Amino acid sequence: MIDAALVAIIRSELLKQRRGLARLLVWGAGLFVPAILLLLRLRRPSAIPALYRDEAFWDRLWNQAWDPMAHMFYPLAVIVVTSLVTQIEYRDDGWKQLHAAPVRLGAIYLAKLLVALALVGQIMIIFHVGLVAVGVLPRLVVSGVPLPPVPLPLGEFTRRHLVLFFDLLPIVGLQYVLGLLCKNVLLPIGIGGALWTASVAALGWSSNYLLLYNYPAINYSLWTGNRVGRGAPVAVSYLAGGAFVAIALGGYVAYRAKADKG
Amino acid sequence: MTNAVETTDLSHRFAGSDYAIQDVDLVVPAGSIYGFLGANGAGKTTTLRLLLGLLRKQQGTIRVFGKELNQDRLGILRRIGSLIESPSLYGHLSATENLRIWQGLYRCPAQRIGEALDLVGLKRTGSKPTSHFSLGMKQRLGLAIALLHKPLLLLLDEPTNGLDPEGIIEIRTLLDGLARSGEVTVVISSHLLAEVEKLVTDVGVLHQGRLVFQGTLAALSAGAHAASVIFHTDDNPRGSAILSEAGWAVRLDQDTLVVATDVANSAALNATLVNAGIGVFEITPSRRDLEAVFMELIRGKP
Repeated sequence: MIDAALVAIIRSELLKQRRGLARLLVWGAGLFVPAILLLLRLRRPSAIPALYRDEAFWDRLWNQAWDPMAHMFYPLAVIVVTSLVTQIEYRDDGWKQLHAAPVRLGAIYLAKLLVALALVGQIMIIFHVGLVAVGVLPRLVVSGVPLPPVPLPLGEFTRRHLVLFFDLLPIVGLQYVLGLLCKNVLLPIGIGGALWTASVAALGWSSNYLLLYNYPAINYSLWTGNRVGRGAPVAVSYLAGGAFVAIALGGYVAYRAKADKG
Repeated sequence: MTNAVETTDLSHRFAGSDYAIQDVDLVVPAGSIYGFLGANGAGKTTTLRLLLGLLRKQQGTIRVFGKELNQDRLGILRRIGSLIESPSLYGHLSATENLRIWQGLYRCPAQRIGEALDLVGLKRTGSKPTSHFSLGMKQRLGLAIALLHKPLLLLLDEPTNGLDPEGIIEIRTLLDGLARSGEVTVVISSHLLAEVEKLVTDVGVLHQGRLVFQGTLAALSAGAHAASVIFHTDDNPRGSAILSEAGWAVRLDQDTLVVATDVANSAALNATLVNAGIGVFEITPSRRDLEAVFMELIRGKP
């Protein structure tokens, strides 16, 4: 049974994000790559029919969209969006009022984490819809474009997107905890940026799975047949799930232990 | 009468520094308006933050409405409204949206949002983001948040800070009305002593982390420090001797004679001096307001 107090705090956390910067970034991050791809295609309408006759039309589109997304845009968007969810309390001096409200600390922690996850999930959904739109829209705009020979593999796309969302959980967890504990927003974003840069640099390393920020890129490379590293002892998504749980629990202990709550 | 707040031996020290407060035994009677006075840095905010559980208690006990804070934190917080230092407002949201956040958490009826906004005169702010509010409007919205769930105890830390005189009067009137309803106990901290004097029934004076006075306002004003009359004469030492001989409590202060007595005796004192051939240039009754008493209290302590 879901606690009524938890529902109330989740609602209030969602309300705080209304018209906030994090919401704006979610849309920007989700639509950026699909928008670029769409513009590139529409710039050369004469090349579009040939694209649609390709047997691997959807696979190619998926790869084109996910390559920059898995390696760069999605992890960076997660770093910024997740950090902003917690920073709203520091920016608006809200911790003291929130911690003086009759709400359990665990509920506050969980609600903010769920909102961060919801926002990250929204990026994925918007990106997912954008990706399909890139496949569908040129046919509607440019005349004489045939239907792709292979139907849209919506189930497979959804499955992969869910796996990649799962792979991002450790980044969400770590950025969330950093954002919760650091007063200055630049600190979690800076640390996240540095960790992501280090992960990208070490993507070719045989034990690249030890770097949490690499998980989306590792799974993406597996699907495209360009495996990087020697492979993790278990599926990367399991590692991601385990790391997320460990980080989230550790973060809660640190949050609860803070002597100064506002 | 039960007490709304009681602390015993409450002490707190921040890492690497001296005690912010030490052995504070606060007693706030239920239904009172308690003026929590002290200069900046005296420890007022630290005490209020401890009462709300925003700082982890290191030493002492805190009881609110007869219950230990640690044992029933949520139950106690449900009955407290607070405004600590500057108000906590989400700048990109409107006043109504800000209140909706807290309405959900305190689980009070949605109609309270309109009532609270009406109470602080912010009902017509519409969808204007609170980041565009003036300081006074922000402060009033902070009060609306504190009052939203009809708390039994209001903890207000310098609520008139940064307000213009008109805003100060508005807030004072609002708090006065609330307190006179008898349904709410108000603890209001301030270093603007003249402000609090017109509002409070009880007073606690904090100086360098220690409670140096606690009692009713009447006790503070009338306590050890009676009213006095100040005389400017052409021969203060002789005037002092004459008045002392006549049984008056006199002291010389710079170039004046200070007689500890009520202003009603000033005519008789003047006659005594004039009859003794001492020229009197000026007579000034000195009424000790709370500020004067407060200053003496904290000056008299190391």
